[in-house]
Amino acid sequence: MLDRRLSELMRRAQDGDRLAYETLLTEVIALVRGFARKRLRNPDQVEDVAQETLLSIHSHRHTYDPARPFLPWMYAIVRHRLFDFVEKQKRRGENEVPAEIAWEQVPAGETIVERGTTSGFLQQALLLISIKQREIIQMLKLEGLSVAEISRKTGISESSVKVTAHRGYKALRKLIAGAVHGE
Amino acid sequence: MGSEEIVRSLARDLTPVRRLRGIEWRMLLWAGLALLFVSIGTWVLGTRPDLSGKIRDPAYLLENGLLLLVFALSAWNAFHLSIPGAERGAAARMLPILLLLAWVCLIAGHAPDAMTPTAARVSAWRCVLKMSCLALAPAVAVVLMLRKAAPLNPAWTSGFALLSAGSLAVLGTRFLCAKDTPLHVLLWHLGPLLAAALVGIQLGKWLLIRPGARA
Repeated sequence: MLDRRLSELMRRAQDGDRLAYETLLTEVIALVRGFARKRLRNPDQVEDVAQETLLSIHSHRHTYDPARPFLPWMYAIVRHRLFDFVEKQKRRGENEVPAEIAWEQVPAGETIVERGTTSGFLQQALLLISIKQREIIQMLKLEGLSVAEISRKTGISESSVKVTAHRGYKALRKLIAGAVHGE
Repeated sequence: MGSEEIVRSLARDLTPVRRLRGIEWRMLLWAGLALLFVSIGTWVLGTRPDLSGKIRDPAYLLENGLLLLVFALSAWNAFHLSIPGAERGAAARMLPILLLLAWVCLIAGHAPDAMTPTAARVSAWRCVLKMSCLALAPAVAVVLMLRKAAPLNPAWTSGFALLSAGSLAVLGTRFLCAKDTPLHVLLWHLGPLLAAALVGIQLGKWLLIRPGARA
């Protein structure tokens, strides 16, 4: 019953029905959160997986065949995103440096107070976030490109650009908070 | 940006999409075109002189039948792997590999006196070249078709895709090359096929995931 309803919503979404798509994604995100919660303890991580899954579903929506059930299609993407997320976390865990120590590794060996300028401070913080996030924030804030322009330039969807930038801001905030705390 | 905001943003920016055709339809389309291309290619390159006699040899027919099955089942695997949720289990994935092993056993069972290193070397690169000519267009076509889908496991997907295109080329070459010595067939026909499949596995992500697209 649920599968048939979601399948019908996706069929309409593929034809461009925005309302059906919003309804579908709202239902999907609840299912994804439920699935991810069983495997991840941190609510932030559950939300990250949910968002990544939404973007994957969006970019792969043309591959859904309404003649087939919807839920296996959706859960295959969820499982893949979850696996991908856990792998990335593992890799990050192996390489990650706590914020306080990371700041010590910033070139020039100067403290934030000594450097004294907000731009220098941000330049250093930008070095500590992921390359993808840094590039998008630089294009948005330093080069003044629009989301649409970045999307065209990088081949990444507009929604993905927004989410990556948002994640970058979040990482910057965390770093700054860590550094201030460490002072 | 919260998840609810992403939902609204995605819905707001929604544009209609052209649905991908069914898996079986796409697979049959590719397989049909690949068979047609290899048949024409084999005819253009010139069939082996003893073909009329060979097609009455049950062992030769069985070997080629196995290659045809490897081609079909690898394609089936590749196209199913390219759609989320349509993937088949490990047994289905192993089937073309087992059939290829059976083919290797049949070839290796040929008269051992024919296994001389000299026989293996003669005109061997010509076989590789002909096989590459036969495999190129089907391989490019299958990669392009799979890139339009969403392979969540690009390594296996492109591995099977190139195994399929390659095994069809080996089948075509069996109609071209009159050397049936095991060493020649295993080294110069099977060798490039395995190399192609391994390249597919190694370069799967690069071959099948469009830049900026999410796997």
